[in-house]
Amino acid sequence: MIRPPLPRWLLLPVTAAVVFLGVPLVALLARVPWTRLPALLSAPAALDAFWLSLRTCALTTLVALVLGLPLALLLSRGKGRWAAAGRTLATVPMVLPPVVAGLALLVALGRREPLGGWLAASGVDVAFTTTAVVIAQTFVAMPYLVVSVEGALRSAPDDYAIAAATLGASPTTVLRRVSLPLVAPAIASGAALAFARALGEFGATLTFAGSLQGTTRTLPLEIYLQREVDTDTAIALSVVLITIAALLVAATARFSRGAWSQP
Amino acid sequence: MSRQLCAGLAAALLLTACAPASSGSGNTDLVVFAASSLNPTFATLGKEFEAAHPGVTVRFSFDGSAALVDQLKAGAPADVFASADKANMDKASTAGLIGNSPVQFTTNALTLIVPKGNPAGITGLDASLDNKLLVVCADGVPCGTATKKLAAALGVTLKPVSEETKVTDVRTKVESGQADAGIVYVTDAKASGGKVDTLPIAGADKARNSYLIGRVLASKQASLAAAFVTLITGERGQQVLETAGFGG
Amino acid sequence: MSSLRVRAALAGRDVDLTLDVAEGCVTAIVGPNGAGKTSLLHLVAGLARPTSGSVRIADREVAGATSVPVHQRRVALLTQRPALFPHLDVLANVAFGPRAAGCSAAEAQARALAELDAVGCADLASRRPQDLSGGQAQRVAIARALATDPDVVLLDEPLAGLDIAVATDVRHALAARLRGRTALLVTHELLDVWTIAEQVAVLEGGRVVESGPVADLLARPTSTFLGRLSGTNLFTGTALSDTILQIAPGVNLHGLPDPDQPLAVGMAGLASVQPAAVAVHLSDPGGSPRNHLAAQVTGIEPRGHYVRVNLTVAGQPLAADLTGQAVAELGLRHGLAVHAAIKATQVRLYGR
Repeated sequence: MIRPPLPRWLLLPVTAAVVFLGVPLVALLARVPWTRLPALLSAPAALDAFWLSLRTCALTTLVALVLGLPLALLLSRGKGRWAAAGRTLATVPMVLPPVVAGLALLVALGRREPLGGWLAASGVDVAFTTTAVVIAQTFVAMPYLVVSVEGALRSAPDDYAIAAATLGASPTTVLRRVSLPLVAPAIASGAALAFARALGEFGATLTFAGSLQGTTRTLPLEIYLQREVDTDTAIALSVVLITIAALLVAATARFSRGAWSQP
Repeated sequence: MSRQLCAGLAAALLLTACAPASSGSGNTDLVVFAASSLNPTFATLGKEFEAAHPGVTVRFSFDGSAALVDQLKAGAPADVFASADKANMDKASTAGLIGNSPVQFTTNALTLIVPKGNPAGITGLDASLDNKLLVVCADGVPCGTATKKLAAALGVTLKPVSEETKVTDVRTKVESGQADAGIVYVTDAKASGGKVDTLPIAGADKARNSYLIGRVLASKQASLAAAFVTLITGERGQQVLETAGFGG
Repeated sequence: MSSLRVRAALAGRDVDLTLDVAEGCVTAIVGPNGAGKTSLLHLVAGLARPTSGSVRIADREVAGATSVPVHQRRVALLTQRPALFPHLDVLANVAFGPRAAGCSAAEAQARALAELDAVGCADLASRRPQDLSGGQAQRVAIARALATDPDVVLLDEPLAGLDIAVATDVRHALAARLRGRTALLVTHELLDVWTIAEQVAVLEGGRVVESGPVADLLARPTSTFLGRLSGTNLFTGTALSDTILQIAPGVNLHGLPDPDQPLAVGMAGLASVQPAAVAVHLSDPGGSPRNHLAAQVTGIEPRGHYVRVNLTVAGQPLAADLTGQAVAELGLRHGLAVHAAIKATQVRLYGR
C-alpha cells in the first residue's frame, strides 16, 4: 500500500533545518588543522583530558545504572502523587542549566555548607577531586537513564512478570531473568545517552570541581581553556568530542531499533 | 525538485542576512574589544567618552584576549583593541589587524587573596600554602602566564588544586570560601572588596602584565578610535585605571 | 496433585465463592462475562487477596490468615496470550520454571525436553517465540507451565485466540496433559467442557450456582447459563404433579419425568426442551401436543441452515429452531404474538 505523499512545501523548512544543524558542524570540520591534528591530539594535556573524560564518564554511567535502575523500576510501578513527585525529581536535572546544577552541588557539598563541612571534617575531601567530577556528571546524566528505562518498563506488558512469578520465580529472579532483560535495549540506549551527556558536561564540573590537568580538567574544560590559548587545539579537541558523541548517538539508535517484538 | 531546493537555500541565506542592525537611531557606534579584566574601568571611561562625543555610542566586547584576537581574525567588526598582555597584541599585529603601533597604557600586578578572615591562616606564597586549596589561573591565559612567570621569578613551586580559565572564576572560588587562597590581579582583589582579604606578594612587580591598546586597521571610525585611545592613555584614563588598582 | 478448597470473597468485586476441587480433577468454570471467573483464578493464583475467607491447596492455607506469595504457591497460570519470554528460546522458556526452582541447567533442560516432547513440540526447542505460530506457542506455554509440576493448573480461555483447526489440536494436547492433574479451566466452549473437564462449575453474579460432573450437569442443567451453553431451553417452576410443572400462574408444562431426578410435588423443578422440538403457530393449533403456550417473538437469528426464533413464554425465554422457509411463510417478526407447541414427550422434567 502506498502512503499519501507529504506536501511539497515541506522541503523548504526541512532544507532550512538541515542547513541550520549542518552548517556549524561542517564549518567546524572545515577549520580543523588536519595536518597538525596528530600532534595536537597527542599533546600531554589533550591526552590527559581525553582519558580523564573517558574514565569519569564510564564511572558516571556505572553509578547512574546502579542508582538509576532501581529508581526507574519503582517509578514505573508508581501511581499517584508520590510517583509524580519522584518522576519530577528524577527529571529536573535534565532541564537545569548546567551552571545552576553546579551551584546546587556547591551549596550542598561545598566546604562551607553543613553537609560538605561535615564531610570535610570526617576526612572526606570532595572539592577539587575527580570524585567531584563524577558527582557533577552523575547529577546531570542519570535522569537520561531513568527516563529511558522507566518509559520502557511502563510500556512493557505485565504478562511476562506474572507468568514468571507463577512459574516459581522470586521477585529478584523475575527482575534478573525477565523484567530487566526485556528492557535491555532501553537500558543500553539510556546508558549511552547518559555517557554522552556526562561527556559533554561542563558548567557543573567547572563550578563544583575546578579545573586541573589530569584530575578534573575533562575534555570540555580543556577545550574551554584552549579556546583562550590555542584555537587550533580547541577545534581539534572539539572534533574528537563530536566524533564520540556521533558514535554514541548512532549506537543509541541501533539499540532502540533492536527492541524485542511481541510473540 | 531542485527549484524548491534553491528556494530553500535562498530563504535560509536571507534569514541569516536579516541579522538585526547594530546601529541605534542614527548614532555612530564605536566598537571596543577589551580584555575581561578591563571591565568595569573601561565601561566607566566609555560613558565619559559618550558624554564628550554626543551621537557616539561606545559598545564593548569584554572577553579573553586570545578569544578577541580570534574574533578579529575572523573579521569581527571592531574599532579598538585592548589586550591584557603583549603576546596577544603581538599576535594581532603580526596578523596585520592593528593600525599604527599599539601603545602600552597600563600594567597589572598579581596578588594573593584569601577568604574574609583568612580561615586557613595563609601568610603568603610560602609554606603556609602546603596542603591548602590554592586556585590560580591556567597557564596560557594572560593571568596564568603571569602567575607562572612570577612563581619562577620568586623561586616558589605552586601546587594549585585548580587552574581556572577565567580569573573571575578564581575570584568566586575564594570569595565563596571554596578555596583557601587564590592568585588574581590586583584589580580583581580591589573589585572583590570586603569579601576577601588581600595579601600583597613581595616581588610581584617581577611579573607585571603589560596592557596594550591599538586602533583596529579595518576600523571605519579612525579618528574616533584614535580619540578613544587618547582618552585611555591620557590623564583622565590613567586616573581611573590607577584607582581600580592598575599600574603602580 | 492436590485438592483445592476455595471459600473466599472479594468484597470490592461482589464475589463470594465456594468451590471444592478433588485431587487430580479438571473442573471447567463457565458463566457469563463478569461472573467472577477470572477473580476465582486470581484468588487461587495469588494475584488477588481475599477480603475474607481462605484458599487452601492440599490442606495448606495459601490465602486468608496466612498469605503465600505467588511464586511460592506452586500454581501455574495459562492465559489466552502464551506470554513466552521473547528473549529466551523455546527450550529456555520451558526450562525457566525448573531453573527458578533450583535445578541445575542440565536437569532443567532434560525436564524441558520431556515436556516439549509430550506436547509434540520437541523439534521447536531452539526456535524463538516470535517464530512460532499461535498453536505452537500455546503448546509450548502448556509445556512450560507443566514443567514446574504445579499443584494446581489454572487456565483462562487458553484456546480463545486460536483458529478452529489449531484449537482442536491444542485441545487434545491439553486433554492429554491435564489428565490426572488438579485444574481449573475457564471457558466459553462447550467442546472444552466435554473434551477436557470432568467436573463443571457455573458462576453467576460472583457466586457458584451449580457444580458437579460434566455429564450430569449438561444433561440436567439448573442454571440458565448452562442451559444456554448446552443449547437447551430451561424453564423453572413448581411441580404440580410428577408430569406437570407450573412455570407461571395458569401456565403449565407437561413432560416426561427424569428417572434419576424426579419431581417432588410442590417443590421447585426444571423443564428442559430442545429448540428443535418447538413448533411455532400463528394461532392455537390444537392437536396432540400437550403444550400450547402463548408466546411473543423477541428475536430472529438466521443461523445458516436454520433460523433461531427467540420467544418469551410467561416471562421466561424459549428458543425455537425453524427453517427459513417456515419463518418466511409465517411472516414472523419481532413483537408478533404466536403460539408455541411442544410435545410432552419432548419435555424432560426434573427436580432441583
